[in-house]
Amino acid sequence: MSSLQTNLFRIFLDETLSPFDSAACLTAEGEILDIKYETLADIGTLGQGAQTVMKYFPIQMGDVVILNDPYSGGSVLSTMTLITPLILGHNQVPDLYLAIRTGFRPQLVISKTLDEEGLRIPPTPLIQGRQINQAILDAMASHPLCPEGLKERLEIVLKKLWARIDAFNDLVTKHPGLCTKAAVKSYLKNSRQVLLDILSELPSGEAKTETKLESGEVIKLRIELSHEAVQFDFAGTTNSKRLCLTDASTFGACFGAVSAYLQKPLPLNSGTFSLFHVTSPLGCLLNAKYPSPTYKGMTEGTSVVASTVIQTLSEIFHTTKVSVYTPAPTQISLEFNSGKRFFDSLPGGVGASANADGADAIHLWVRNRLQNSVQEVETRFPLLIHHIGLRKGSGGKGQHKGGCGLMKEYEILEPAKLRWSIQHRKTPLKGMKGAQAGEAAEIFIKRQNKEKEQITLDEGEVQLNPGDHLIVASAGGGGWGKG
Amino acid sequence: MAIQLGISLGTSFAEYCLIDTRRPNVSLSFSRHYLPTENLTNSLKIFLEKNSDVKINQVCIASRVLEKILDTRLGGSVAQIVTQGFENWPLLRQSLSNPYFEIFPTRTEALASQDLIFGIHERINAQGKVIKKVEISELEQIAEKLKLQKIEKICVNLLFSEINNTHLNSVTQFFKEKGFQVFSSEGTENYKDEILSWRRNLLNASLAGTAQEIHSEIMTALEGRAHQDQIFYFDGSGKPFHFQVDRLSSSLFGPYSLIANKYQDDKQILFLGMEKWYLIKPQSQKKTWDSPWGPLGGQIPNCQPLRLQPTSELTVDEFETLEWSPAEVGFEPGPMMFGRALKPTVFDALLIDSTDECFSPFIQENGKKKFRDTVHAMIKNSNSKETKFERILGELEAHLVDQIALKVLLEQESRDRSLTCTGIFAHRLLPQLKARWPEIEWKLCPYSREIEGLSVATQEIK
Repeated sequence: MSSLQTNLFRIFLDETLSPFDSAACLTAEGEILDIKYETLADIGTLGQGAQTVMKYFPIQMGDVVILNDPYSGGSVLSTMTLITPLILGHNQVPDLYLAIRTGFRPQLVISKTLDEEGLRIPPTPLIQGRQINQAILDAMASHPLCPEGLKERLEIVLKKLWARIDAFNDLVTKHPGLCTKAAVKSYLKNSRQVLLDILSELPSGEAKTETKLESGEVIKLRIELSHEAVQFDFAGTTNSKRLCLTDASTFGACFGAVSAYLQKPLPLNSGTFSLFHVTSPLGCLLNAKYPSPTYKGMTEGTSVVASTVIQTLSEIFHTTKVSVYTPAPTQISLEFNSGKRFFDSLPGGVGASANADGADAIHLWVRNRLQNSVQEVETRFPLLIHHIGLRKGSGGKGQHKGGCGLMKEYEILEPAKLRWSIQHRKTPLKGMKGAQAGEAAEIFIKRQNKEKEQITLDEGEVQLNPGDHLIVASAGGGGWGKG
Repeated sequence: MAIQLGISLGTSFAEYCLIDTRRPNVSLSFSRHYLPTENLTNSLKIFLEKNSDVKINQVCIASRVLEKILDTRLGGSVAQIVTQGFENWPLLRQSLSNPYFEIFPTRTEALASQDLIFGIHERINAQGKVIKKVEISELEQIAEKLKLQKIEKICVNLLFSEINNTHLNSVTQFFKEKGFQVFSSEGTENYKDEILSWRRNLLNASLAGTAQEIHSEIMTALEGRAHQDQIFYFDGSGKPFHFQVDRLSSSLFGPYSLIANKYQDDKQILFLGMEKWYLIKPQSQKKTWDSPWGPLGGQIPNCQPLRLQPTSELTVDEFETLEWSPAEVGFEPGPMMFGRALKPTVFDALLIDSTDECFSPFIQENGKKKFRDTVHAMIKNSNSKETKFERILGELEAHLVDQIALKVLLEQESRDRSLTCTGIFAHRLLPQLKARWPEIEWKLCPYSREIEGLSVATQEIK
């Protein structure tokens, strides 16, 4: 197998996954070949979802299993994962499977169990021989917590999926050399070697850190970096009060953070994954058990884990001075009497580093394009947006400033129930090396003819009336160095 | 006899072509010029002098030349007037620069400076009702500030102006009367996302100055041979228009929309031009363009860039393989063959042994030597077992061809396996494509060497 042939196989995989927002390709043996991601959780969960389905469902070409259950390899309940064979039963060509994921507008639900967060779909055979099981789909769509527009979105995604699978099969039938077992083996081996080469140039060492969350939970992490592997040991991490992650999403957060820290996009496959060993006690907040709710864990939690990993790596590499402690986004949802549900997630400012100011209001660990445009929001929901802007001065002062948070002001036009979730309300993001902390996240309600009131709980819900104003401000990043 | 002059302006090459509209597939005269070393006005003048006996009836221009200036921050001198409360909104909607996770993420560069965004007290709601009336006195203050800063161009971007344009019109009118060049974001209802039309408006404003200069250069060359009314540009849907600054962003896709028009019965066209390689789907259009600053609105042809382009760089990748990188080095200082550049590209590899007269005017002997030496050095740094230069180039060309075919076949939407290939590199790559991918019926457009110029020249203006 020449290097160029192996590269062609890699490009072939990339092109195959390109039409989808997030997707993974796996062998029948469960080896992950490639992942296209939008979130940290995707990196760990897409492969796990496909592996679960391949283990328990003998799916044939044209069959699709759907899932969103985080404990079976899903992410948040508002994303649906579809698993289907890509190619089966060709001589020389390995059997391959695809997992593709499509996201819907999330819902913020204050809940004690996963099933209160939304419609949970364990792995369910939805399509056989390209025929949708309409009864199952209707049952899902009629659930009160089903994401809006499920049927319409699935139709679009399936059209893309069948087109790509047909084209792939046509290609491989005529050119079996494009996708061989030897190419799979060689690609995974080369990917592993790429990471080994990187590790061999890094200093070996270990470091421990402890991250205490506002809600009292503690994440303890010990990273041991050698020339052969990276070990992440989360022993001592507490059980959850607020955030719950699955082990797969914790893995994704660790891998994504290391890749970002090294400033090199690493190949995302079983070759590189085999050098990452992540352990956490079963039942702790990073390896939660059903029925713990996972929405916050999959969103805020993965970002906290990634920040903890980066801080720990900074202890090992004394030369790379990064204070990236990403604020979790400030999230709100409004449920109107008409049944319409609005959701918004305001990113905070990024912490400064030894070399630069932190970036303003960026979702550091999300790569999707879901952005609420003002006109779209006001057309769909009874809301008037008065202001969207940077929260000036919210980044911690220092030699380098922390990034600014974001501020939005909404006027409510119809009665609505507000739900919120704030991560950095009491403890702002600290500055590093003598710099100041960023401003804490805040939410205010200004009712008609009354003074504005600050919300004093990390999460909760309250009724809003027409004419009320809601002001949401995400946290600013911490600064770096004495100014 | 009706004679059309076609001008195809790329970012680095210009092509001029004369045709008789009764025999549109044959050029009466054709020439190609490398713009970094040749002046647009002069080269066009020389072409016209060579054809001094020809009476030109129409001039058709398809231009991508403005793309060249897109890499730089363009809008330093463009101010934006937006609905108050949304002064940071254009910046906040800038997408992240890279699709992968980074600890130092950055947003893509905004087209215009944040310091030149002014919010005005006005508001229209989703139903088109005026919530807050615009105040002219406020505009007076802004106009004074802008005059002091010597700002000449203003974009007016107000919320819901496509539903109720009264504020947009009054603000536009006010600044026009004050002597500013004003661009307004009146869009269509298809763009619910205000940023799509705001960005388009801003891009038009940012391109206007350079576009005007280029238009003047062309007009200078055409003096005495054609007047304004005979000159047409083309927008992203292939519609002709006389020079107009608010259609500039769409005109960046003019050349591809013309190719799509020309082959409107085909499902896919493989365009392997001098500067860009695209897979064009003539039967569909897109309503947004993923520009370097994020999506912007405007009808454009469905053209997908191939992973590799003529100036994609040859590198030793992370697997130590001598491989094409999708990163493009561009035409300035140009491929190594042009004698000045240091990075080997697809262009160099394909033309090292070429005797094709299309390329020979641009190729330098010292460039060939430099390319050979560089590739030899790269072979030593790679894991290649093969050391023979010609064999390695052969493998790389086969690999390039395979990537093109993969894209074509993965994107096919029907079982129709015929594919029209056009563009100057189609001649060069077709034998390999045919040999390695025989299941596709590769059809070479007979006049593909002059396609960019000819496709422009043969547009029927109604």
